[in-house]
Amino acid sequence: MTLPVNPDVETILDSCIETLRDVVLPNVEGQWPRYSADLLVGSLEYAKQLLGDDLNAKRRAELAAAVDEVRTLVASESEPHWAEALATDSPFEAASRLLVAGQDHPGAIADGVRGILHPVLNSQLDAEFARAIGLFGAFARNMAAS
Amino acid sequence: MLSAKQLERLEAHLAEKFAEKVEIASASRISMGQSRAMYVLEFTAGPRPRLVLRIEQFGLLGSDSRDEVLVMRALHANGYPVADVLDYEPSNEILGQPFFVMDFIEGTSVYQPESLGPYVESLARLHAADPDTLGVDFFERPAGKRDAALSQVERWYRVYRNNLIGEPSPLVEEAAQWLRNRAPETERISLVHGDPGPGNYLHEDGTLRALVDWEFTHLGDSDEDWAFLICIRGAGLMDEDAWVAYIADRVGVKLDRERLRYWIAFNLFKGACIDQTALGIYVRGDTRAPNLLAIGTCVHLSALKQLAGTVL
Repeated sequence: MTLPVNPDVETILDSCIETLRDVVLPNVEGQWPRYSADLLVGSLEYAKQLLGDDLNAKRRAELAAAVDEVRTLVASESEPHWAEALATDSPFEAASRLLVAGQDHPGAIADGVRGILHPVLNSQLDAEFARAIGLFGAFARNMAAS
Repeated sequence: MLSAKQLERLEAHLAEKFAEKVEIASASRISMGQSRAMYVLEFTAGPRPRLVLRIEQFGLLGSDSRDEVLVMRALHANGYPVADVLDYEPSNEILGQPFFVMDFIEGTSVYQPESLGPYVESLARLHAADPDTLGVDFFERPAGKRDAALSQVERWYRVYRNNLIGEPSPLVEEAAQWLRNRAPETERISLVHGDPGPGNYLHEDGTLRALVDWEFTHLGDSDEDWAFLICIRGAGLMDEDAWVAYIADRVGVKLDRERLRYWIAFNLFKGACIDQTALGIYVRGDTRAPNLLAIGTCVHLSALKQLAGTVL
């Protein structure tokens, strides 16, 4: 026997969140179990946010495009540190090396590198944090109470 | 939570250490402290009615108990308000991780305004003490004038790199270089608590009972502690200007704002680095407590957002 249609993951997670938050949590006794239950609600909310698109691949592609833009920017530069920074297949490693080189060699090119990479990285950071905001709320609530 | 077998082994271990009969009535985990699993032990037989058990968690937040125990014992012996450590077990044989047992101290860690003054005075007293008189020579002493900052940046950068899940974060890498290039000089080496502020001291009726959480303590620059107090544990109490005025008024410490900016950035960087350890422990399944997921993701991201906003 099979189910004609499986319930979707999001519905199951919603049910877990509501039940934990509204039924279980108010009746949990003990500091650590209550803290853990509150964090579990936040964990499930976070898990819901991670469903769907492959966020890791999306972030990687966005950063790779930004690194390619930097490659064009520094193509005519004779200073070796820019080319050395770009000598890797990983956009995360390349962006890391480029920004470190920018800290060590301030100037117009470094400003340009930051001007390309920072908006992408900060936007990814904001989006990642927004996905985890429920979990952060649970953590912060309990830190304040301890 | 501790299993029945673990409690049995702990009873036997403590009975041997204390050379008397030990019976544990209960072990309640408390949420205070993230780096270690903390339990209040209640005894029906033993040297005290209550003790506190503090267990390492697979290198969470990049510190171990050895130096923590040594510094707590040294400060307790010097009359500082620090719990007496009664037993330290560095092996994994009893509970699967190293642990120590310390006196239970009455009081609360929940912030109350009347506790702040005594706490800030106690922190200033710690900084003012000559480290050579405290018996803390197991700590590495920064050699050069910029080493108080540089050694700490490298310490936490290593923790970050050693605990990477996947690839490096470009913003963390850039911040590390920003900190290296701007490391300030330190004129006087102090004992630095490393995690000071509300939540990390116990008080009762306006009286300071104990400073807790000594796992990040080291020899370095006292501005590191003031910055941590201002930007992290005390950030919700007052803004930076008010904090600087409060500290100057209460303990006579006049903070240089440029140096303070550096040490605030350092503390945000340190937070971003140590939080990485939690994600590794969670993903590997060493322990799957949900606070580790929180620390390894949103707490890390929060520190990184503040860091990027501060210096990059």
